[in-house]
Amino acid sequence: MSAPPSALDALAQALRDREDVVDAVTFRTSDGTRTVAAVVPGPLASLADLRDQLWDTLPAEQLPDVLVAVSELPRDEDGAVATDRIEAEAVDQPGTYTFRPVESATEIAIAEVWREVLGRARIGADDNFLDLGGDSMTAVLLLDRTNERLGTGLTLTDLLAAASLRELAANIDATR
Amino acid sequence: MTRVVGELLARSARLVPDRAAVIVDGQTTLTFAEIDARANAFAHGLRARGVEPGHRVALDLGAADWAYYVVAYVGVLRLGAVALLTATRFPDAELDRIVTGYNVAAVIRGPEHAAASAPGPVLDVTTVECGQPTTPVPVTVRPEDPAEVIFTSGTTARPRGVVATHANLTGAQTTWPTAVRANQPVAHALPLGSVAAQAVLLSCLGGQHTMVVASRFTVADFTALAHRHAVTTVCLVPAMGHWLAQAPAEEVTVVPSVKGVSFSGAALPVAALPDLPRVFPNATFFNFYTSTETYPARVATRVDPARPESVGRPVGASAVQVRGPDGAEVPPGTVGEVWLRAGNAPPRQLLDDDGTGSPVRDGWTRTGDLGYLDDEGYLYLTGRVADIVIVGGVNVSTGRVEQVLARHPAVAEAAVCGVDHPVLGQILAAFVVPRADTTARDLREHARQHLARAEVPAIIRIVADLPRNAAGKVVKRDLPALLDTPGEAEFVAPRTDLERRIADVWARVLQLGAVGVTDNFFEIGGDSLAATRIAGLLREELGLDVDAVAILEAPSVAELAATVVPDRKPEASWKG
Repeated sequence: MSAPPSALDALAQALRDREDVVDAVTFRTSDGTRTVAAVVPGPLASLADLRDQLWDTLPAEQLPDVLVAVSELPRDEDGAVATDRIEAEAVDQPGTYTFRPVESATEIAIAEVWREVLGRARIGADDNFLDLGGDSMTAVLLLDRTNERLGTGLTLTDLLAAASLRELAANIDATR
Repeated sequence: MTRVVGELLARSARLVPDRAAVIVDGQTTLTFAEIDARANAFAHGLRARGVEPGHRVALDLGAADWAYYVVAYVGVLRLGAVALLTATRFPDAELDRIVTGYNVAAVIRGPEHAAASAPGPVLDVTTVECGQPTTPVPVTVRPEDPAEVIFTSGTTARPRGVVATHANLTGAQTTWPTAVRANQPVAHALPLGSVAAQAVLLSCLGGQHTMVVASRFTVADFTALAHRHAVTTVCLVPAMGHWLAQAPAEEVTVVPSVKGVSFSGAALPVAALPDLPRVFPNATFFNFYTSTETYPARVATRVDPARPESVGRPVGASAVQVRGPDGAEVPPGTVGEVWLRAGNAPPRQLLDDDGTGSPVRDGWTRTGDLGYLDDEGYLYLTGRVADIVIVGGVNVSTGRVEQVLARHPAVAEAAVCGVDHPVLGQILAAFVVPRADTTARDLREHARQHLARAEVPAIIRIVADLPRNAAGKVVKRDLPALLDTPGEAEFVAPRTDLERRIADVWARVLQLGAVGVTDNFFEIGGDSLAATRIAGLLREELGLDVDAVAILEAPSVAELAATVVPDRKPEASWKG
């Protein structure tokens, strides 16, 4: 009798079954606090699109905390995937996506502006504006709408300096 | 989620079918759904005329055909064919070479040119889609398939074709919208078929934005158009920024809706910056730089008064390097060739490249542009590699000289090139469009204060405008011809006794009947040997303490007289 597949195994299988994913591995971080899905994306896959599709199709308990792209799955001498190396080299680096939803009123208001300006159905708390297809031109419109809706006086520099939506919201709340 | 151009448009057409996609001159409007359907019909029409996937189709359409161009472009790409953006830029003989040399299956022209005798099978763009179904053509287009060929602008060299795949074009953004997006209408007057115009077109088709096109740029029409459609973004070339800044108030419609203005190709002329908020009071100004060979690798910056001449830092996954002649990176502040790399898109290649002239090495693409990085990684352009002029054995970057001249408060724009001199090889000639009263002498003094001796132009000519191509870019190879027409004053007779006596010496040495006091020493045949002889005679006959260098640095009778006149102690004037 084999054990029923865990949520992590089911996620890895769901990822490997996708056409835009070459290979995938799922694991728990060494401190046990977070689940990670590392994918080797196809040449033209968009990690943001992949994240949104997982979010829309998988049951909540299967969603990882972090989605990260790697160029190949590193392996140790006996052929097992070296998840510790992925954790050290890729997790918590720019370009990763998480599934943490926005929570505070400020975060929700900012996410609404991002949804409108960037045309993304899903906006997460850790999202970075540039990783979602933002550029200097959309930044100007985004700034305008953010200041209008939230009554803030942000500058372009404030907007681009924040690493994530959550950080931007915290900066806004700190000045009120 | 196929990353091909046709699919980008299809996605926008599903999400915002009735939104205006393209508005030309405020008259012709096409919605996303209309372009989607008509591009399919165009693809069917091409197929019915024998065009197959992989074939090359020349889109020889001009600014008057913008709306048809968008339909034809997407139609060609959906068929899996390759669009050659010849864009009415070439004379028939040159187009003929392209059509036969590159095995072009069809040439698409506007109705007014389709009947003219032209090479190859010519199709009238207005008839191709007639009677064709608007369903998708059953062709699978892959991201690695070639999509378009742009011809480099050729301001310094002959045009050459650069191939972009679908993956290259769609790789400009890592992430495209998947839901309805707020419309951010963009107005531009960029030339059809240029890399900047293609970047705007793709960004609008995939990003759900309305593209408002002005088929020709005038300050009055363009600002009125931008205002009428409440555009939020404006994309221009720097020359247009210069014209906007210079325009009289009665020609300008103020456009408060504009939030961002981007200048592509080069940095906005510094002199234009203070006047532009008059036209776009709520706008942030950006410099943006890429090249036909390197797109979507690009750098950009908000125009910063602290570094107004910078074109910026790499955008997104792009990377920039400045390399010396040995191919190694040079330290900040050192001028070298600019190389760019697009992090998330395959690089472009030359059309029918035999491998010898490819600008791509290890994913990096050479731009042919010269520049340097500052300590914070901001890129400054100083000219084209081909714009290096060797003056007296010293390499001079004409772009650097132009930047220094443009900092003079009376200068709107400056262009510098090398001109042949029978004895000295090449000398520098500067052509300056003034924004206030100035003289060649003032400008030379300014140049002398900020430039090395070899960099100070021998000839400074004040002109009303500069020769430009359709993109508004200065055509450097046409600059020397400006010297064939007389300058600001054809002949100014000597006004003082000193001027008369100096002019007399010049005329004897140069064997001329008469010398005007504003005549340029180099233009009337002077060289270093003549300067030495003139200096000798001026010392002997007039008792002036001048040497040959003084004449080369003040190369007209009036300028030379001015350097010796103030206190009759020449050592205090230009030496010291």
